[in-house]
Amino acid sequence: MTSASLAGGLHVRACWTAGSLHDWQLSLVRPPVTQALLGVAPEQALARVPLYFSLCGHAQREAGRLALLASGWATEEPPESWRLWAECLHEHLWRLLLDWPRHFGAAPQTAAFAAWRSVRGKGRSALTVATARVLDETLGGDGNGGLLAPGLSRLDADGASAVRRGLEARLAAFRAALESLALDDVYPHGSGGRPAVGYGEAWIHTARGALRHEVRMDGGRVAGWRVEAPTDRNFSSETGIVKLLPADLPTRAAAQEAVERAVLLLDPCVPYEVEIADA
Amino acid sequence: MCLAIPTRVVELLPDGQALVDLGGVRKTISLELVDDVLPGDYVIVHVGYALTRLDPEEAERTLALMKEAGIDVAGEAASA
Repeated sequence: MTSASLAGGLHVRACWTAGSLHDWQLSLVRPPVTQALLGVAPEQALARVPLYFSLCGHAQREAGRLALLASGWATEEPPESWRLWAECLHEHLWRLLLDWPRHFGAAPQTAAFAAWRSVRGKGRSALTVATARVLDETLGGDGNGGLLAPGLSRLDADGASAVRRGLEARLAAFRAALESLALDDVYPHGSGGRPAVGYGEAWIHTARGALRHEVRMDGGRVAGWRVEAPTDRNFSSETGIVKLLPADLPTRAAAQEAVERAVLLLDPCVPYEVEIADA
Repeated sequence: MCLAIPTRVVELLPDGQALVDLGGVRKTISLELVDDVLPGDYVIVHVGYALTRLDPEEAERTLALMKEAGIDVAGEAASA
């Protein structure tokens, strides 16, 4: 295994010929972090999980805790729900304030995002107010069209209706997460297991979809730990990308842009590259 | 599920940028999303942005755990 493959990331490649794409190659490589959880006590494993993930550390830890609980190895108390909503909102805002504006040729709203991030440690009420302000003043929540309005119009002009619907759904998901933060809703999750054999599995909501953890315990030690992130499902093949492409891809450049949009909408949680080649 | 690798800040650069080093790999990142970072601090980097500032002990502990897991932190730094 090379350093590049160990680094983790997503590479999407396809060939363009006469208006269509073929010979897809998707390569998704994960760092082998769960290896470091094998053989350790459950509380040690749980302490390590959030250290390994730069995004969704709270959700990763909670999914792991729920899976351990389902396996019969009761562990610590759950986190406060609002911290999980805050993490979910962070991931939505990264895309909505930085990546989508950049994709549409506008300046990323780094200062607004940094200002929002600085409020995360000040509690649920302060974060609710700060998030509502971002929605109203930047993302068009007060009916002023918002940062992404020109981009949404451009998607219409490009025939990218599926991506437009997806981006609108992302905005709606952001609004729903804000409402849940305001109401201090229970964070969505589920779990099941067979404690008699030390097996547990759990899922937890994230901005990208359900995050799943599966654990096997043996003699009080972790014998197996599997993580399935939304990125694993969304990029297991090109199917999800193809569903988001417009019918007409008249040039290689148009195809490149369309695939980049589709990948951005599917939102990989690792660095990625898109390469569209002439056949 | 991007790996959270503690990365040492070598030098502050103009316009909110910084030079970081991990296992001999050096690259320029943005510090626009975190405050009060100084040379010698450790940060978690994701797609070119510093996300979190870590205390050095926590950073060293995490790096040791990653090495124990067989993770090539220099390779990770090149792509973060």
